[in-house]
Amino acid sequence: MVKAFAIIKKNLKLITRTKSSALIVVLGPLLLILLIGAAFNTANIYGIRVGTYSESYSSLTNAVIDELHKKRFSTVKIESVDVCIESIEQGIVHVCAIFPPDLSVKDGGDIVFYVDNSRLNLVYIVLDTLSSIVGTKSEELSTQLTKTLIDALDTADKEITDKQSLLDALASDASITDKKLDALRSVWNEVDLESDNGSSFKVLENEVSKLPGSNESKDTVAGLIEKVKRELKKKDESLIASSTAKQKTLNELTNLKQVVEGNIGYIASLDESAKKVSQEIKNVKTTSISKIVSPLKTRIEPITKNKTHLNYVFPTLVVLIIMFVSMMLASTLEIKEKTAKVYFKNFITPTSDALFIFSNFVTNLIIIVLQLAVLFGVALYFFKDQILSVVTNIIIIPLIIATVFILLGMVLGNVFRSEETSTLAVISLGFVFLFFSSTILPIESLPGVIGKIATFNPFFVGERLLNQVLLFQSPLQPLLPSLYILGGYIVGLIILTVVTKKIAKRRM
Amino acid sequence: MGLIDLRGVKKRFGRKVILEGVDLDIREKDIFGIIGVNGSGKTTLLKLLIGFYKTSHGKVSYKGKNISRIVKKVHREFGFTSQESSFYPKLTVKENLFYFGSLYGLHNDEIRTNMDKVLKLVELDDVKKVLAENLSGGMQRRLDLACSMIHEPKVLVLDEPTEDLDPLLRREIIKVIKKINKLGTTVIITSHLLDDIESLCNRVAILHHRKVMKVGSIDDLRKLYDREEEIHLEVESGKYERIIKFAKLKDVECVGSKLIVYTKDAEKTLHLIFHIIENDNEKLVYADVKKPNLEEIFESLTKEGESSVVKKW
Repeated sequence: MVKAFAIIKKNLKLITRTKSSALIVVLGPLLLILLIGAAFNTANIYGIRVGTYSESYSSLTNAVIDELHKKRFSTVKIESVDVCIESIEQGIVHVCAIFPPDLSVKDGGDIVFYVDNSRLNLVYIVLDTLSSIVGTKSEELSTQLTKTLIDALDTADKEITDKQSLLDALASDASITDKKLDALRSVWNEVDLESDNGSSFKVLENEVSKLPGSNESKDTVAGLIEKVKRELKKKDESLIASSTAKQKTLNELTNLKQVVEGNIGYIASLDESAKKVSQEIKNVKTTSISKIVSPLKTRIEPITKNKTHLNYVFPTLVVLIIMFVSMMLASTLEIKEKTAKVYFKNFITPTSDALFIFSNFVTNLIIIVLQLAVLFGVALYFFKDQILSVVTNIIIIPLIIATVFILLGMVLGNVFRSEETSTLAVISLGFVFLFFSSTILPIESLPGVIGKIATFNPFFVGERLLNQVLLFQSPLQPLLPSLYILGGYIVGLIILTVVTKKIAKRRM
Repeated sequence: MGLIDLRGVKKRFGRKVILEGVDLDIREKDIFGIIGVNGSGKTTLLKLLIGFYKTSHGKVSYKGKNISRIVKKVHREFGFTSQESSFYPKLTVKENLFYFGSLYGLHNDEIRTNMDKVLKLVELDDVKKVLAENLSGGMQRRLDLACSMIHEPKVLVLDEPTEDLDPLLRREIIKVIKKINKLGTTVIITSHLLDDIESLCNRVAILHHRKVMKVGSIDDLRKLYDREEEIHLEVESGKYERIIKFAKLKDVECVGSKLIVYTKDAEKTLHLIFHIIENDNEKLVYADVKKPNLEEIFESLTKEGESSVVKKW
């Protein structure tokens, strides 16, 4: 242990006494986190320029452009589609939005976006925001139209409901009229306007002839009877006329009844239709305009609330720093030691290779821990609660990630013979790790086998672990599979470090 | 049996044979020199001696035990200094000594005691707090020696310790090495600076063509050299025929106005020459006797196709 302590002490002294190294060790991460913190501690998008072109700018087009302004996009009106595309190529604008002439809701039309796919990350941000702006505008307009429609329906429903009582009254009146007609007809039917005065007079005349008295008196009575007969005959004629009139009235009443009955049917049908229409209007369950305009709404809800870009970038940034600094530092330390004139002298002391490996590893780890302390110390200013709530995991996981990359750096330092080649190897390997992670392109977009292999990329695994801990405050238990992967790397790399160290020693 | 013995040692890397059939014995308290041209395998031989390399064939033993089996002991009892200053320039003299002392498993007290002794020995006790990179070339070389001596090794192996140093610094280092040897440390040293070897070593091995060509003291090696001594002579007349004839000189050479006589017994031959000069009333202008140096012996021994001038061992 005394030997290990002596080696570590010596390594640290050598590093701290080289001014540039000391500067990188302490100020490097501090500067980095301050710069990135200042740059990314926002959720806004700045400085994205959108070129717009339309043969004729309508009020709707201008409204969309205004929305873009509100979202802090810079917009430039460009004179043609070709010039707009050229502007993307020259980097003057980041995206071109081509609006159809006189864009209106009535006529509709496609808004075409031209983007530079080589700037994928930017494209996604721009397209996402633009689609959302255009979508919002289009939704606003649809809402207006639908509102008119819904208002009309509401008015119709209200009117029908209001007039329903009138219809009911009408139906009731018609029914009463019908009943009254029935009653009238029945009264009229009971009125007997028939008369059979002839036989009555014959009976009267027989009775008069049988009466005792003079013929003169009999004649007087007979004359009176005749007079009554004539009068009655006149009445009969009047009755016949009344009977004819009655019959005509009855016929008219029958016709009127039929009309009233028909009207009752029509009123019932109208009532039924009104009720049906009203019911149908009522049955339109969704009367919310927004739901009619876009019945299936998609909304992206971040699972982590109130976060700035820095929150999302920070875990990647930490792993990136750990990866490059660990590999670079470890390989440089190995190479510097290996190419030092004193290297051989170390090996002819009674000190085992394992102790040198261990001591160099601990030296690297101390420096990385110092850097991370600076990094997280500054990060506390930005997201104190987030860090403090998972402080144990935040100590453990970066250490494990650093161990993997330190060992990898040591292997590279042992394999390569000069600082230049080992630095080149570290940078190349670092970029391979970076490209085959989700930092630049989603890992899921990689083809089958490569994608699967990439999930074992230590940078990807480390980044995912730190993401889960920092963003979702995940406990260690669900992270065990990823930790096992890193554990496997550590075991493999320890073996590889010992082997490469022996090979490097043999080359002396 | 010597302190260190090499028997039939062969070392090769892949197909390339670096050393072959090497037999050596290095005695306790020797200052043993190994000379050879660049690429002759001197450094490889040293690395075999300290157990860093394993032999491809043959055996290297220290105190009668195979070195490959007692590597840790060898590392504890050997000190090594390479041809380039090997210490950490960004550490002070004291820190370097502490570091190496710790690697040799010494306790802090032991390191402190040894450090004082060693720093006095190499005359660096005034600069122990100075960064190694700020020391002069000679001091740096002495610090290197000090780092190799911190654990008081029984054997100090020095690989070309005077390389790249000016004559003054070389003399300084040689002085220190002699002091170290006087303390009882066996010193094994390689160099192609033969003057240094000549002034330092009591025994020398000549390494040539992968093999140890000769081993012995400097005087032993001189005896192998046919033209053992040279008499440089100049007379006023510049005529040397009578001298050559009456002194029966066989191996002579005229260089300008001088005569060079190669002889095994310079004293006797010179006496004879002086007698002839006196008899002939010749005036002696210049006379000197030069013994062949190690460089000449080495040159002679390693010169291809001139094996006739070398006696069989």
